[in-house]
Amino acid sequence: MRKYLYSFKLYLLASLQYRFDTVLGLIMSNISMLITIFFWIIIYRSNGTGEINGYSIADMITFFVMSSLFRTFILSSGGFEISDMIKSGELGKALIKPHSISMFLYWKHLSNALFEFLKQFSFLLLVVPFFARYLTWDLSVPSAVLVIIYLVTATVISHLLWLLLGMMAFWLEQAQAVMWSFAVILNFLSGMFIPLDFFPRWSVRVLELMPFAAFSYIPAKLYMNQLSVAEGAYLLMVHILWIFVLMALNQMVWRAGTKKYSAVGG
Amino acid sequence: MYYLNLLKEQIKLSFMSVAIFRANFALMLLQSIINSVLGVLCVEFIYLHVDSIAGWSRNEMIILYCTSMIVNQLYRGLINPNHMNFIGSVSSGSFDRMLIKPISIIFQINTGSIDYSSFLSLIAPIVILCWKISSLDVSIPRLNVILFLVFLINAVILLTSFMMLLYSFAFKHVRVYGLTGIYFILMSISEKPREIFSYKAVMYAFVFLIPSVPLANVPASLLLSKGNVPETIAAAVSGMLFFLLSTVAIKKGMRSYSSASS
Repeated sequence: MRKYLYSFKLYLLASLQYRFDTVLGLIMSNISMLITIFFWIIIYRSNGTGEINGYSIADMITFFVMSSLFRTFILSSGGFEISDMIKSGELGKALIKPHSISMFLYWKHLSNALFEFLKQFSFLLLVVPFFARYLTWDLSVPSAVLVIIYLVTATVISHLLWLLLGMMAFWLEQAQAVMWSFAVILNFLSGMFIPLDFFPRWSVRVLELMPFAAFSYIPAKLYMNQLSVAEGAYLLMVHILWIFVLMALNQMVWRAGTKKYSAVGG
Repeated sequence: MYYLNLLKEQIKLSFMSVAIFRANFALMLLQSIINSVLGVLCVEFIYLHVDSIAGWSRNEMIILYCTSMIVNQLYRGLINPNHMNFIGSVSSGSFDRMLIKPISIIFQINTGSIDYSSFLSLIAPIVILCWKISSLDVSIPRLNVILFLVFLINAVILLTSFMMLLYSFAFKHVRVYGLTGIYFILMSISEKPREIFSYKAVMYAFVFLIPSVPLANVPASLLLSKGNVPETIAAAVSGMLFFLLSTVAIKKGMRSYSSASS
């Protein structure tokens, strides 16, 4: 475990090196969020209503602010990295090292995610005094604990999911296309564009049980107290079950893939 | 004629490269189509709960979204791969090769390879747009359709020029990949109604400084008879202005270019 924590520390320090890129990224992501918020403000204003589908304007702004904060914990880069390693033949070198590739990639990208989160969080702390009245502040202690557990769960689920897709490179010449297709669907089904409860009623329950809901939708709903702790805990069990399913799938695909792997160019 | 022949050859070469990676091409095409369809679904889901947004009905909003997608896919299919090659060539030093060719630099920066999967995924927004137009209660005059097409071309020229202007910073700062984020923001603003900007001054800033309003709002408004003369003129002026500015910026930037590899 110590070697993984050491790599976590190293990559966290590396993230701090590119300051211009950091500032640029921070500005870009927040402009996008701001545009979404403006769009929802105009929806509320033009309909002359204080509430749409159970969301007040403050709830909606809080949802998007919190979602964008929680989404920093989606670990997708591991999948792209393993796909590149397979394609370039670099995986051959990694295979002979005395550590698990999956674990190494998890800790590496977790450090990046933590850095992104801290960056985004510090920025929010700076601007929150100016728009505090547009946010809801309903977080209880049990919900806060559950939110943290959800975020940890989200890092594991997203890492396993993306790794699974990245391993498609064992069979496909270019796994990137599969991964980008998945990214589009994931963004949609995780409630990145609109909260999942805006979807048709019949689909909401199914989507809440899907692994994507843990990324930002459920934690944001817990933060806003729109999801009870009991309901949140029940859904957490389902998402933990997803971890086991994805781990088993990863193992199967990894075994089959490494049998086929021929380290081209490596 | 010389440039037309060059374009013909480029189209042929790009097609041959697609033919090699057929599976990847099909998957990328599928991804672009999924992207368009999910975007439309988002709008549909919002309209399950509201009747109109800032005077835009469900079908009108989808027409706006599809217009933005068409401009986006045209840029991504025809121009973006070449812009990426350009900024890559400045940082690697291979821009030298462009300089010694007897072809206009502006032509070389904007043409070369075609991303057929992005280009062909135009079909999805075009089909949805035509379907939504036919669902509207009103008939659309021919003049509106012509104006829509003219301002669609203006939007692609404007987007190309704006991105070229930004990428001209590569001559000074070498690595400018971070600037591609501005493109995504631009497209994200363009698919939303211009009414999100409450103040006229802010709206005009998004015409002349960060030109997102002319990309989809102006053509879609003209198609739906919602446009106004000052905004239409501003969009046309903005297109010409950014084209001139970007040309000057590239020519000026070339003077400060020093080959990175030599």
